[in-house]
Amino acid sequence: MSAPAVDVGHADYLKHAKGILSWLYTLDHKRIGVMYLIVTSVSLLLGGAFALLVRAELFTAGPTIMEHDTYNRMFTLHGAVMVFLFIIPSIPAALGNFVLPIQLGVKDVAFPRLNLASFYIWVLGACFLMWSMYDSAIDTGWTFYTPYSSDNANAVSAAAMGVFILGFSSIFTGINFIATINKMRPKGMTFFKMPLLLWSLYATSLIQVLATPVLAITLLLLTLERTMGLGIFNPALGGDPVLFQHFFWFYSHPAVYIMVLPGMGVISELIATFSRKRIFGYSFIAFSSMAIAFLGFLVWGHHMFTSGQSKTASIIFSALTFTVAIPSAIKVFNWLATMKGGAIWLTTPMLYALSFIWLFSIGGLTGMFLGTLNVDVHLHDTYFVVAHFHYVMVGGTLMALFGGIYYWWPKIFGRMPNDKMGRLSALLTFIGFNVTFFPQFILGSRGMPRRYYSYLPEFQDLHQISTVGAFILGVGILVGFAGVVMSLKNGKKAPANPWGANSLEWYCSSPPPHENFKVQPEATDPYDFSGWKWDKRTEGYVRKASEA
Amino acid sequence: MAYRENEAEAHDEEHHEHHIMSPKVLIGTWLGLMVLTGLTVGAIKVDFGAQANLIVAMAIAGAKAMLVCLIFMHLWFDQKYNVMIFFGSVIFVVLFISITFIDTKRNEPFRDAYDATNKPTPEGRVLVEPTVSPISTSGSDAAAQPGELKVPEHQKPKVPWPSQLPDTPRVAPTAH
Amino acid sequence: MSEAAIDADAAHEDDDHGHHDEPFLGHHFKDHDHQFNTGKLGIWLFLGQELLFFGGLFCAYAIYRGMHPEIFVEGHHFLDVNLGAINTCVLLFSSLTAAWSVRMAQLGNKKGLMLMIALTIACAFGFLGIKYIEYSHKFHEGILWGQLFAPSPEAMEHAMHGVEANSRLHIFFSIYFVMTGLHGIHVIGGIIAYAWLLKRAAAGHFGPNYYGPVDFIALYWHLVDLVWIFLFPLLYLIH
Repeated sequence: MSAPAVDVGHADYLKHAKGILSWLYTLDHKRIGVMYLIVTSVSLLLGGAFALLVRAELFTAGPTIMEHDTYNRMFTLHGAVMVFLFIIPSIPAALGNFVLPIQLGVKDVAFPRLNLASFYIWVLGACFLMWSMYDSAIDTGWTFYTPYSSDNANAVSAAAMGVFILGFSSIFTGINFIATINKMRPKGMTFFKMPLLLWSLYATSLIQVLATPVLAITLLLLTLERTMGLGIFNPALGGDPVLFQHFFWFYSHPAVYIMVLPGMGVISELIATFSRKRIFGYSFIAFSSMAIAFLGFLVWGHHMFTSGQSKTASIIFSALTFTVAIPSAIKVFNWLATMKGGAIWLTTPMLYALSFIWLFSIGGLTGMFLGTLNVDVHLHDTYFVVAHFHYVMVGGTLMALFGGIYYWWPKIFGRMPNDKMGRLSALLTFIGFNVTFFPQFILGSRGMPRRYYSYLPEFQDLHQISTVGAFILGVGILVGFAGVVMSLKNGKKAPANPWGANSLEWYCSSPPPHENFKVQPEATDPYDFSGWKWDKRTEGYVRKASEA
Repeated sequence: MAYRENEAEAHDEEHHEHHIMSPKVLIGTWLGLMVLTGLTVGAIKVDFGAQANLIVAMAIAGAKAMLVCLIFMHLWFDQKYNVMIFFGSVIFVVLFISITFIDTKRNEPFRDAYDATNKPTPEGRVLVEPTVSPISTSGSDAAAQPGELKVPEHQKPKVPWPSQLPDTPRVAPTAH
Repeated sequence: MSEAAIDADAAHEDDDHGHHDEPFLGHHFKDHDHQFNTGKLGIWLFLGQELLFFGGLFCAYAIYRGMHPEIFVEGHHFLDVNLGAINTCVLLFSSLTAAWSVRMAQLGNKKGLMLMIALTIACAFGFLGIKYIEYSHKFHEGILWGQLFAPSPEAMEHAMHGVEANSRLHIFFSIYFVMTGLHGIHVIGGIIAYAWLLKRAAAGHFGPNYYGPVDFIALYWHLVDLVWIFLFPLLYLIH
């Protein structure tokens, strides 16, 4: 296979057109990805601020810095902002949008207008959510459970419509990615020669297309329930509140995999690149993504063990829940096997990848406790659950996102991120995260219920440790952002291939030209790193052939 | 899942012949759909038994749906992947409904107990007094009588409860 | 409407994003076939999500029919089977004209294409007109959803013949109005999409090489028809 020539020379996408309008009307997937990166990062900081307020309030039992009503709103907003505005769009819509077409060597995603529409739909949905905060912030929890959500007088309708709209943004991204991967792969790239990031984005997109519409109809019914007194979910009108939970979790459990699958894809890329070794068990990792996507649809009832669901349903859901552990474990073992015997290069992205594996394993294994029917009856709605899903979502997705940002930042903006700050940030987030959430496993197993404003005196020590950890985590995230943002001003100019990776995005210049590639290149083997060698002059990798 | 292994093959697939429906097939399909519609309307005159009635109606609707899918929507002539997406989505709908359906018997005991104490009103609706969450009040509300529940302003329902509605008119105003 | 976005994408025209000699071919596609097949996959994915969207309502229907079958038996007496059947026929005929419009576009018959699109739009308006008659009749008799359900004694007597109605009868009408209402909104979406198509057909954009939008919107229209094919027996034909 002849390697495509490194494509340099014409104006990059950042300089291709000037002015704010050239960004707002752009159909370029790279610019849309950058815009997504900005808005999801702002959402992360906003959701993080709510989280710190929640943790600060829990520093002492009873009122510390706010009243109980405010506290209920803070944890609800933390959840809603983090889930709907940040985690779901973060990796697919920001990094995925940027990287996916270049990894395929095409000029754009299949439907560029739909891509831009999805961004503006996101903005519209975010406006609804912000407006609901301004009007009277919701305190239902991010899950909008009825009957409380159908009765209380806060701006639940506005928030629900906001999430309804955000859902379509997610669906359109999914449609775009599936069509692009299916129809626009370069010559020589079969499904089983794709970079693993594409497999995980493909699986994610399938979930986005198949699960999100159910969330849309659920929230539409909830809004109609509130505005027109529909009665389908409201027991006061003869409706069935447990049906709402079935509807909600039919989306929201698969949505957990929308959150973590793209992260797994990023980690597969990072582990292989920085172990300088072919990924171990390629097809197992690829198939496990699809298996997770499919099995994720069959286990939603494990969120409802204590909500009055029938015994039959609970037993079936509990049994099915264990099956999800198999593909997840396959991934972890394959990553470990890839590292074994590799020449591990501890760059900032690799540090994030390692902390992903550590934290995701803890998060995944504690999920098994919760999937066990009788254990869950004790642990349900305690801090154990809170710790479990933060280990998966923050320990998983956030670490993968930061790893991905540090990995692709040179490609996106053409500047090397600050390595020292990156390492410091990886260390601080890892320590801060564990200090925050490990005590919560202990709190939960001792019976501390989640979402409570106050607690018994014996829980105070662990709560205080957790709060301190949250602030360390917050500092770590800020340092992480500073490391990349400051590089825009004084960062070293990035070479085309700083990491010696071999997927197609490293074959075009940093930042890539407006149309990525003039002609679609032939596929490369994304996990064959032998063709590159370190070049001292550019401080990046160059093709061996071009030296000769 | 069998994905195409060979890109050359894949590109041949892209260049398939565009299939044009003949008038005969289109009108024939439409006539078939009309006949099935007549059949399903006619079927309500015959009682096959409570479950069987539904099955007959759904079988006829399924047949009509297949005609529309395969011929009007060209699925019979379309690429396999499009067929897979559509019927895959149908499978997910069926999974969703059938797994949720396992759970329909769950609340019968609760429902019966509830119905026994909440007699239907003449309008045929279940009316229940709103329950107010007993949240203690703070600050400015400290003057409230002990034992009295003060509902914070934001928690008061905006949509009036059925029982708080003014006498519901027996005949609703016309829709204009 | 999103199907229009997919269509527009399969055809964007600005000089930045087009082949210079082919006004309706995106710069990232190899040729018209490539663009058509990609657009078609996109619209099928969109229809897949539509199925799941309506699937939620069908699920609510199934659960309530499983738990309270009696409210469905009682509720359907309030509906007019004749109007429902006529509407089914109207929609089936519009599906025929929609399928025919694809044939006309493939043959490059501009007048035929415009006629078929116009017929489809006319049927869509006919469907909405009949739905309006049904709705206004129900509103008049106080047969509304959930909390607002307050049927007049005459309507009650007419449907129930003196038998006391089930206390959850209003849930049937909640389901009826949401299902038919959302279906109606999709019909309106179809009218908008077809109006856009009519304008482009009049401008002579479509021919044997390029007819993707006609095909994609017809697919969407058939899906709207498919949903109604199930709604009709589930709501009107119960005994």
